[in-house]
Formats: sequence, C-alpha cells, structure tokens
Amino acid sequence: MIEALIIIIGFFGLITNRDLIRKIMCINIIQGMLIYMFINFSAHSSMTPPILNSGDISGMADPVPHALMLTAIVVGVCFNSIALSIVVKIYRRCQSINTDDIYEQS
Amino acid sequence: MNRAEIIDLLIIYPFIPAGMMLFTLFCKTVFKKDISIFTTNLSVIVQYFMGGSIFLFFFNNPSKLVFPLNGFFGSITLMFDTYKLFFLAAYMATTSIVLISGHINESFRNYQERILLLLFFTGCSGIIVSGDMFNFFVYYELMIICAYVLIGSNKKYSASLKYMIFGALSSIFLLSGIIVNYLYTGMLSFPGDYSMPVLACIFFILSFMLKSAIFPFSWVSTCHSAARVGFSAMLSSFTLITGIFGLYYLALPGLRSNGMILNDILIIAYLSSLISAWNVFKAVKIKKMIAWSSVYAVSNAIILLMHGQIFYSFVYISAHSIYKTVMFLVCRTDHRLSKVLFNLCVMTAGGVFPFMIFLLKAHHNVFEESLLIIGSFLVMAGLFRVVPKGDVRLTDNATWVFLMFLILNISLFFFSTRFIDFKAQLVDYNSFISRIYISFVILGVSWLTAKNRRAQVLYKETKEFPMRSLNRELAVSIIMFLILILTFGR
Repeated sequence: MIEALIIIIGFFGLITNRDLIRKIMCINIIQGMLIYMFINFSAHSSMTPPILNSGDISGMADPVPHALMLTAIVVGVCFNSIALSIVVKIYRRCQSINTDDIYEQS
Repeated sequence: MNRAEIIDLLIIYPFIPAGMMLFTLFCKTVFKKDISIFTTNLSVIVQYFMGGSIFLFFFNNPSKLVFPLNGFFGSITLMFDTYKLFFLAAYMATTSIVLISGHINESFRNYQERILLLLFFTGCSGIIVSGDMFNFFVYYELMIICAYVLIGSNKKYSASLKYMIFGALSSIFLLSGIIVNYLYTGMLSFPGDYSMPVLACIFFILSFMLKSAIFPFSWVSTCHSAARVGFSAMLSSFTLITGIFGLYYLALPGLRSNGMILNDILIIAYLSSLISAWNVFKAVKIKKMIAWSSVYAVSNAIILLMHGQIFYSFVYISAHSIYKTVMFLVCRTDHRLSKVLFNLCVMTAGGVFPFMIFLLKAHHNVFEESLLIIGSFLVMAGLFRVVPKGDVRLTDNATWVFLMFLILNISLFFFSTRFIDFKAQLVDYNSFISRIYISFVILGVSWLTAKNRRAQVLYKETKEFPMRSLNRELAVSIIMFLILILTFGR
C-alpha cells in the first residue's frame, strides 16, 4: 500500500514539476518503488535465499524476480546517467533547467 | 549452419563490433574513423545477408521456432515466427536504404555515434527475435537509450529530453505490465498459451500507445524531426512500429476475449489517424509533416490489427518503413529523381492505386472507408506541398535509392501475396473499380489543394518547442490510464 502511495506521489511530481532534475528524480522514485514492490510481493520473511546447497528447493524464494529487477536497476542507471548528462548540456546552453525558461530561450 | 544459429548472429553481429569499438574508444590511431565507417557499413551488409537467409528459410517453411541463444548470452530464449518476418523486412528495408544513400556516414559523424548506432541495431534485432517479455524490455531499452543520445547529437537536447521522459514513462508502464503478469501467472513468455490478467494488458496498451505516439500523445513531431536525417528515418520507420509489435505480441492475446477494450482502442486509432492527417495538412516544416504522417500510418496499422487483419497490418507497416525512409532521405535534396521519388512516396502514403496500401485498405465498411478517404486526402494535400529543395547531399546516390525503392516494393508485394489473397479483392469487381475511381479523384483534388497552398513558406522556422506542454502531455497519459482502468471496471 505504501509503495502504491509513493508511486502516486512520483507520478504527481512528474506531472507538476517544471524542474528537469526533479522530473528525473520522480521517474527514479516510480521505478524504485516498482522494483521494491515486485521483490516484496515475490518473497516473504519465512522464505530462504535461493542458494542451492542440496536438492531441496522447498521454502526458497523465487530467484527470477531478483534477477529481473537487477537488470531493471542496471537499465535505470543507464537512463539516469544519460538523462543527467543531457540536463547538463541543456543547462550549459540555456542557463536554466526550468521547462518554461527553456521554452522562452529557444 | 541452421536457422537458430543465423538468428543468433542477427543480434550478436552488431553487438561484437560495437563492443570492440568501445574498447578502442580512447586509442589514438590514424585509421580510427575509417575503421568505424567500415565496421558499421559491414555490419549492415552482413545483417542484410543474414536477414535474407532467414527470409529464405521461413518463406519456404513458415513455422514458429523457439530456441536458446547459445554461448556468451547464457540462457536467453529467442523466438521467431512468420509474423516477425514483416518486422525484419521493415528493419532491413530501413537500414539498407539508409546505407545505400550514404547517410550512415553522413548522419552519424563520429566514432561514438557509430558505436551507438551499432548498439541501436543490436536493440532493433533483439526486439525482433525476443522470445519473452523481459528480453523485449531489455532490448527495447538498449535501442531507446541509444536513440536518446543520437537525437541529442544534432544539438537538439531539449527534444532528446522530451523523448527520454516519454520513453521512461512508457518503460515504467511496460515494466509494471511485466510485473503484474509475472505475479499473477508466473510466466514471462509472450502470452498465447496462457491467459494474461487484464490489468497487465492495460499497462501494455498504455505503454505501446505511448511508444507509437498515437492520440493524444504528440511528442513524435518534436523528437523525430530533431535528429539528423538518417536517424529520423530510422526512428520513424522502425522505432515507431515496435509499438505495434508489442501490441500484437503482448497486449492483444490477453484482450481477444475482451471486445469492449478492443473497440475503445479502435476509436482511439481512428481519432489518431484523423488528427495526425490534419497535422500533416497544417504543418509547415517538412520533417514534422513526415513525422506526423508516420503516426497516421501507425494508426492505420493499428486499425487493421484491431479488425483482426494481422497480415494486412504487418504488410502495411513494412510498406510504411520503405516509403517513410525514402521520404526522409529525399525531402531535402535537389536531385530531379528525388522529386519523382518523393511524389511516389506521397502517393504510397495516401494509398492511391496501384500502390500497395490501396490494396490493404480494402476490408472496411462505408463509414470507416470514408474516414480513411478524408485521412488520405489530408495527408496527400499536405505532403504534395513539399518541393524538395537541396540542403542535404544525396545527388550521387538518388539513382540507387530509386532502384532500391522499386526493388523493395516489388519484393514486398510478391512476398505478401503468399499471405494475402489480393485476387480475392477482384471478386467484387464494381467495388474495386469504384475504389480505383475514388482514389484518383482524391489524388487530383489533393494535388490541386496543395498547389493552391504552395504559396506558404515551407522552410519557415516557427517558434515551436512544445516543452511547455510537456507537463500537460504527461498528465494526459495518466488520465488515459485511468480511463482504461475505468473501461476495465465497466
């Protein structure tokens, strides 16, 4: 429930903010919460980590969500690095990262 | 070498040279530029041959092939079927035209951009052969992250950022769909053998609507027109149609049982078709016109898909890739052949007889046919205003582009006759003749309209930077999601 609330806050920030850095932060909040929610739903405290010592796999957490979300985190990092580098380029050009100011100057 | 190995190589081949070039990024060698040009062009040519082999294999024996990607990539599962041939055709048509026009060297000017181009090719090939949702997501991200940087390479950073924000939003919806599907079904493969939860379908639909930029999203005109010509062509002709790929493979199987949502998407596609055609008619910058006409084509393909005419839809997008690439490449050249080519492409976009899109628009009722006629008129009347005027070099290669255009169109026609019975359309002879008559009337009227409107300055630089509407567009995407949720609740 808290995850859903934070995702809604992220969407609200994405829509209402005019600052580019804040927009990127809101995208990160949404992505982070999605990843957290998936991991949270797919494993609970009574489960053991998916490390195979013997042939018994009962009670182990499903390793697939963890593997998938690790990839999603890597994709998110790539997105962040490129988004921030583009914001730096925009700042050097327009001396602002506010969408309205950028509109006025272009 | 068997089929699976060739399909493996389709991804691996552009990826390995990109990796090697990445390692030599900081080396100072005299031949660095020449090596990068050679490697990039060679990658396209080799992919072209591999794609050709796959075509020959699947053309003679249409089937579905699921297989692991061996070796370095571990346990990734790939899938190839007959429908994917059309996406492969679209990809190969785009890259081959861009290669033969010399725009791989012209539009991707330095070493880094060529590395990104090769990674972009890896992403495109990966999307075509991906066998499950998560691989589709990863390859799509690879493709689109390269696209963000390559759009910005033309110093249009704001367009790049806008593309990035919408891309990120669509990726969030795609990831949400994958998560919901996995939590409910425990599956990651494309649906078909199992039923998908409708909530996951809604996430997928919204994601692919955003990716295809259909109504009410309008980011495509800013973002696709901002890149250099060669890359704009690739974005409009291949990246945009990945939305249809996703819609068919991910969302549609889950929605077949829910006719209500299918009808809603059909209405949105019709609205998108008309609005994008109107934007083509009203636009004053060439690249924006062509970008809007891409949205028009994608909307029409979605209409065909929603009507259940899958082959018609996929042949449409393959034809779209050919003429859209050529349009982008020749719209700003002064060669006489370029003008002929551009006008041929406009007639293809409008669906005039005997161009193939005319045949693909056959199976609609009178109301839908009339909407398509209005759309065709607006698109042709808008695009006929363009008088190709030279500021991009293509004069040496225009003949080759023209030849490639003819070869690809004829090949696509003969290829599609295997899947679509064009002769069946001749059965209702009177209807066929009347459609030919109507198409020529539209051609004439749109030509005259364009001639009267040609006094407008086409190369006028308008102050157009819809960054201000970014927040509004984002809000619209969330509202669309809520409407779809309500439809689901209904």
